[in-house]
Amino acid sequence: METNSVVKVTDLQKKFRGFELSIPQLEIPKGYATALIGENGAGKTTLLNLMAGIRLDYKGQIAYFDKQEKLGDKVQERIGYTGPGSYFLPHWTVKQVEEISSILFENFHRDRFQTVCEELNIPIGVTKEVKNLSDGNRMKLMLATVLARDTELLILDEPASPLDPLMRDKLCDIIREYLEQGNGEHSVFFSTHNISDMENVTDYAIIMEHGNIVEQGFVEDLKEKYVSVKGESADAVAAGKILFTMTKSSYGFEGICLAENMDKLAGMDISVETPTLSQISVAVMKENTNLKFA
Amino acid sequence: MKQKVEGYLVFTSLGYRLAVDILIPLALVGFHVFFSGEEGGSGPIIMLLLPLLEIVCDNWFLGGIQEKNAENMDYLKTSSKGMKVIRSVLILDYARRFMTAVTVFGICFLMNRFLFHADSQIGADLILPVLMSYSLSVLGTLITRFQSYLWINMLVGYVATIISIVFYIIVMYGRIRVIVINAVFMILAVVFSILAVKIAMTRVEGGFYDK
Repeated sequence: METNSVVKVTDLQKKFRGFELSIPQLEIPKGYATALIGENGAGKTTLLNLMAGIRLDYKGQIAYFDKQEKLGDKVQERIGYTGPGSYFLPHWTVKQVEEISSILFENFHRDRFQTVCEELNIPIGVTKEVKNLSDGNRMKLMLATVLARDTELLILDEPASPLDPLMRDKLCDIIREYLEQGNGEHSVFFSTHNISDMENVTDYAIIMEHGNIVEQGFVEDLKEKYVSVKGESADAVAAGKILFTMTKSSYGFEGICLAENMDKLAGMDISVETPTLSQISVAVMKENTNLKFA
Repeated sequence: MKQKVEGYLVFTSLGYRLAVDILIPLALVGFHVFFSGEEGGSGPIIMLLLPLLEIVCDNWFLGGIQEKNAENMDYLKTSSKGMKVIRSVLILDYARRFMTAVTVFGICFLMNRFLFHADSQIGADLILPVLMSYSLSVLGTLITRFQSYLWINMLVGYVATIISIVFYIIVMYGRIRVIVINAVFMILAVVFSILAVKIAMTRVEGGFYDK
């Protein structure tokens, strides 16, 4: 699929306390929702922090939007970032968050912020401090601040993690709505461990392990590249040599296989299904992880 | 300027502003009225208390801002104006601190002169307490902001109090002329203020890097 990129990364390298992020080339497609998937410590947050401009010590280039601009005042105005760390000062109230946002960003709309807060059921009580909000409400407040601005790119670090299932569904609606409003000019790049919940809003997926990108592509392409296979126990050993990852039980086996290797399974009694993004991600991560599986 | 003041108001908690803008000045002036006799007299005690209280309250405001793993302030970092806001907040708070000292010691000085008819000198009873308490509170917070424990703020506050006592004794016994001490504290006030803003900004901006 031919697309423009909203962020283009070239020869990105960052070393920190024995960890090394190394990305020779990466393009985040413009106009889509891109999920960044990987196990803990894979480098997702580091990559998002570098892209959002809250970490500046790295080698390589990160270019933004059509004109391949470097990070600066104008670019930062067009990017909305939410993160899991100490994002707001703990003593800020919701009202103060609104006030500081209108000082920090030219394109912040107070009326829109209030509307989003109401829509997300954020307690706007003047005395309610950020530190007293639940993790979920804090995330909703972060979302409200970025949605109240005229941005073209949202970089969201683990937005779904602190949210309840209902709010996760709402988050998917918000992302979809944001993309639709942009008519191809808006893009969302988010990291997630909740792949299943976010799958219906994910257009493009990037899977990271040990600071490297090990797989990426449009979800529909990945679902053609990989196949979910189920078979009888008798074929488990032979299939195990071909499958990407496999789970065995007394009833049979189940696993993910590269579509190009399907002919190697010829003669086995198997059934084939289209895998979910979650299945593909787990399979790719299992293939690359240092975790030991039985 | 309006935006800088707005930034300061947002950055500082209501409790902190209530404490340093209203409660502490009122308490110190009240203390002065209560303990002063015909010779004035409580000025030196207030001079000892103000730096201590400022250093302790700073823990509430920006305690630990210079710490290695300080608040990352990610939201501020996502804006090109974020660092400018922090800088102006730091500067405005030092201006506020100076004004608090001027107000408190100014009121006490006027009371001494016109209410208690004491023989108060501008150099020794107004300028010196303002400059000394301001300099010591800035130096104190420059040190305490590297950590976030309240007891360390209190400890540094007590040290500032001891330094104040030493200088007050020196002035009282006329070992060094007041004008000389005032000149020294004037220079120290400027140097400490510049250093305090510079060091805090270096540490906060270091959050963008692996420092």
